[in-house]
Amino acid sequence: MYIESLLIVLLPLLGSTILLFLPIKSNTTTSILGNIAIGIPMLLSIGLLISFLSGNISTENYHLYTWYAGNIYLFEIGLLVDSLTVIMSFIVTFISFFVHIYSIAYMEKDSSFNRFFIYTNFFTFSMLLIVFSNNFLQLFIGWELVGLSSYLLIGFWYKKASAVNANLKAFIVNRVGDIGLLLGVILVFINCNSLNYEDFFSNLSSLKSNYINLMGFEIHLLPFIALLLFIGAAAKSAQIPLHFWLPDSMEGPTPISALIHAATMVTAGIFMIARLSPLYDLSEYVLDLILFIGVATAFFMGLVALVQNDIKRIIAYSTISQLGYMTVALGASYYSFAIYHLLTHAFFKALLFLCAGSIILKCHHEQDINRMGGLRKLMPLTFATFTIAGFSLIGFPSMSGFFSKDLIIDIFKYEGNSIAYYLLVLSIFITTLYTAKIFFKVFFGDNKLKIEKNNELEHKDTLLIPLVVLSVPSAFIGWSLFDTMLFNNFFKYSISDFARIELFYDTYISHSTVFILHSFNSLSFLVLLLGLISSYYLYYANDKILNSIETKFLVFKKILINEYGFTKFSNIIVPKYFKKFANIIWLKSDVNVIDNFFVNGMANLIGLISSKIRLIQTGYLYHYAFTMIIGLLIFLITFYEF
Amino acid sequence: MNFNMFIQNIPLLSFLIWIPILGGIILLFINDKLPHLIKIIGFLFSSLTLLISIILLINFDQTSYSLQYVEKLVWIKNLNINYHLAVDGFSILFIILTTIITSVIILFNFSELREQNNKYTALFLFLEGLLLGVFCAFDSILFYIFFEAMLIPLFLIIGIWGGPNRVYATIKFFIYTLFGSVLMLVALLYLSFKVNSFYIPDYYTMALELDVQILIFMAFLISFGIKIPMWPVHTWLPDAHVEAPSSGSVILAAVLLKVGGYGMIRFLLPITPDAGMYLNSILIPLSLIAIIYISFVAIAQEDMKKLIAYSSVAHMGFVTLGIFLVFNAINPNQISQDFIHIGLQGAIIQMLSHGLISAGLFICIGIIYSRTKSRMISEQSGVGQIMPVFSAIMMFFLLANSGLPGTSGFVGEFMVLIASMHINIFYAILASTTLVLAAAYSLWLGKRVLFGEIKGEKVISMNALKIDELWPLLILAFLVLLIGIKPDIILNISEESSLNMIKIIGNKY
Repeated sequence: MYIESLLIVLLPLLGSTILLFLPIKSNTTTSILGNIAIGIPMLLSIGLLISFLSGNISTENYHLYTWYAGNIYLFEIGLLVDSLTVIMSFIVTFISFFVHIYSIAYMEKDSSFNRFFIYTNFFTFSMLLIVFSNNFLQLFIGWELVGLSSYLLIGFWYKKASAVNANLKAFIVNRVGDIGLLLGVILVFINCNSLNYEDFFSNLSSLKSNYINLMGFEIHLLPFIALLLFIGAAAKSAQIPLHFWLPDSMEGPTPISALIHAATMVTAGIFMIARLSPLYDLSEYVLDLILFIGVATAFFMGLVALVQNDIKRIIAYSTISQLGYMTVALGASYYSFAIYHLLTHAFFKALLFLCAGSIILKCHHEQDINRMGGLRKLMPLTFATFTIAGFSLIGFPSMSGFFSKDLIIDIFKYEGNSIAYYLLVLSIFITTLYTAKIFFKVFFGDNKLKIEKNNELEHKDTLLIPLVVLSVPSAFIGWSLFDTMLFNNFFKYSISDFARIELFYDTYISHSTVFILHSFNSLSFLVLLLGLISSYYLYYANDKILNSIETKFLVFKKILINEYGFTKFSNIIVPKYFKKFANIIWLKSDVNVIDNFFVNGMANLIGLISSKIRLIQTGYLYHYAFTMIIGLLIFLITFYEF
Repeated sequence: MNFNMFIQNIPLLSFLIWIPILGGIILLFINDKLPHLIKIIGFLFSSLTLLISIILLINFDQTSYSLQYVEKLVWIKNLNINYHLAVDGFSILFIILTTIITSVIILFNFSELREQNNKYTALFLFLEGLLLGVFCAFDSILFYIFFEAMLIPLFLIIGIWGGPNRVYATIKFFIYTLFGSVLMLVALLYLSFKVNSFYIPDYYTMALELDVQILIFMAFLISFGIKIPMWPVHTWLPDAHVEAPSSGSVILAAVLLKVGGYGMIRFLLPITPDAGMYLNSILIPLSLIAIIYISFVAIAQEDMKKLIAYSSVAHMGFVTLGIFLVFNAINPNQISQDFIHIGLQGAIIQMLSHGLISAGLFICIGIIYSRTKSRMISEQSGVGQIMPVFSAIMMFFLLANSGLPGTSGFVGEFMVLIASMHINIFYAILASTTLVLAAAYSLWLGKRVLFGEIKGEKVISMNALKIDELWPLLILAFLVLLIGIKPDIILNISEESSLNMIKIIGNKY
């Protein structure tokens, strides 16, 4: 297993390095090398997953090399292979591989084809570095490197001003989160003398009663660490209030939105918290906060998606909202459920984005769904796969998204947190509306862009294969792994909630088929149907209803279009005052006070004094003689003994 | 006779110091009209020095903190002043940094023809020899002489080949740093007459009263604080950088500033720990101000060189923070010396890392300047479309400057943050804002210069990267990456010396 996991992590890095240094001229060579570097890790990951699913669950901890070692501590780079690693590695490599395939066609006309594959291979490596990490240091390194890849890929078209603004914003917002993460990591280190997860978990019970002094307040250490780490997770996984970089990240190429900003990187925060589940189990109040933020994100960010018209921005807000669902599950300490939603979401959301990419290509880079229409007949396969992904997203019973999402909602149904429950159910309604909005406006209605039918794009294999392949897990993976993986002690040795979810399964679910059948008479299904019916009327049958609703609630619409003011805040207010403040510090304090007043002032003062003293040196003999005589007289008078 | 014995018997350190100086003298006699000969001689002497330093490093015993390659000759017998050279785990690292940076600069200098190239190259060799002298000298008078003398070549480099406002900048730089070192001389003389020796480690054993310590501490602090530079005595640095030619900026940022940090470790820590502890609550805020306040100043800059100069001050804030935290080792009961040790090691690797990164950045800015004849950020845009390879490298250095993990920029900051968290969580919280601030000024610079639409004809007509420009950058980038991925190759070298330093402080009282 050591060799396999090492290859999984290192091959993408090797691919990226080869593409960077070899002078490759042809796109074919680049795509072959770039895809092999992900393809082999994908096959190995599938192999590992199958072996784990067939019952060979083990936890292996490998030391790769020493980063720095001192007397009592060791910073190392290593590999941790357990069920959580294996499932994440499967998600990352699988989606990465098909996004790579898709990109061959999507990026073929781009002059920086090679650079694109360097970045995507490097991203896959960095993500796997996080996934396979056995310690906090490596986690942080990978964490920042995925941020770097995201930065480079959002700004892939670096001539575009909007792209380079978006990537700077993404990097800096993520850095704000990284402050929390880094401080948390350091607190772990100075309290355990080690950064290995293993040592940390074994020290947890003794750290439980530790306090930390913050301005005279005694605060429990562990919840404080959990909170700091969550700040990092919130920024990476786009949770309120650090979510606003993600919609802008859509400036990058669409395959990137599928890979990084939907399926993998943004779920790193969810993964981290699941990985550290023993810590979060001991941090009750932080869990409440996580729950609160998750619910707020799921609901309020879904609402924003309703008023967007850019197809990618809608899906981006949908991603934030779905990440909110995962966060909710974390907050309720059903970490496995979050990972399960992460799994299904990765497939159907990547598929949605790739469909959107095909649509955008077909529409000659038009992204406004109001200007599209009638693509159903032109792109039948894209239409079919989009439908599957859409049904999975809204959680239609038996689709993948249903199993993971309804499970999360059911937590609150059975554990009795009615506010969270109703908000999440309402979010289903919203999800249905915005998904149907894209569905109807893009595929039905008139062909407004007058796109000709015999365009060959729909038939380009490399563009279609990923859609077809991804639609399979989007439809079925939720059901097929439900009983065998989620509730079969699969996560027993990696996530601390296995007892809780076993109980949950036995009490409320009993079996996946029962779960489906049961769902048909649940509130969430009712809401789903209501959503489907109303979206049919709102977006397809009669758009007057929508208009009248919108005019009635104009204030709300405005708030939503402004994205609650986050866009204005981050694009205009923060940069402006930041720059202003920096200028004041520089010109007023550094230049005026320190340099001009003190440093040059000192020089001027010395100059002034010397210019005065210089006047005494007149050069006239009689002045000197006169001074000498006066001096002599004073001397004589002073020392004369009368 | 095996190789090791042979090494021990030849005065390698003297060779190290005097070979570049000899090379400089030879260059002065070479006709200015023979650029190729100048090139070959400059390259030969700098690589010979580099080679010697590599031999020193390979044969350096990492398991010991004792002085190695000791050379001792009587110099002024009556006063007990000796020509005393040696290296320990700290100085060997700075020696390597100096030789690498000088070789890189000599290589880079060939990319541009200038008047009196022979003297220009010679001055860099003189400077290298004197800097190596500073790092090898274990006699305080010898140290002082090298310390003072190294100002002269840089003074000439900026004063002769500098920009339009060079006179103001050089005088400011010279007087400012000279002022500091005079105070240091007084302190050195006081200590030497008290202990009746000029051998630096002899000072470590003295027991001084607190009020005496504070005076000596202040003398050293002003001297090294100006050099490194600390807030608020940093204003000479941006001016000197702006006026200096590119290679001058490189050596100034990469090595000369480090003399301040080296001096603090060599003198401040072991001689006056009580004073350092007594003043700790003033010293650490000074470092934090350097990190936060100077980062804001860097964000406001319109001139690329000034921006990087200010970012140097901010990065040196981490160095001083790591060093000043070491004074806490004086209370061994409350403070874990292991974490303090991580902070000191962090300060050292931060200096090396900053040496490599700032060298890379100043070379990058020099490359842009040599083409557009402007350092103003607003006059460049879209360089990435014209010079893609160069832009990728500059972006790499900017990311390293913002402390990206995997590059050397991260290691030092991370380790110093560990030490500061151990002493006081607020130090760590305040210092960690650098994650955002350094990213803001570094990447915003990159965005404005490298990305976006091409603006102006100057940018369009930029030439591709020359080979003399590419190699220095690649060498530096490789080292930045290497230290970032496996920092213990550097940290292990200074491990024992830094443990010993903390032991000296901890045992002293």
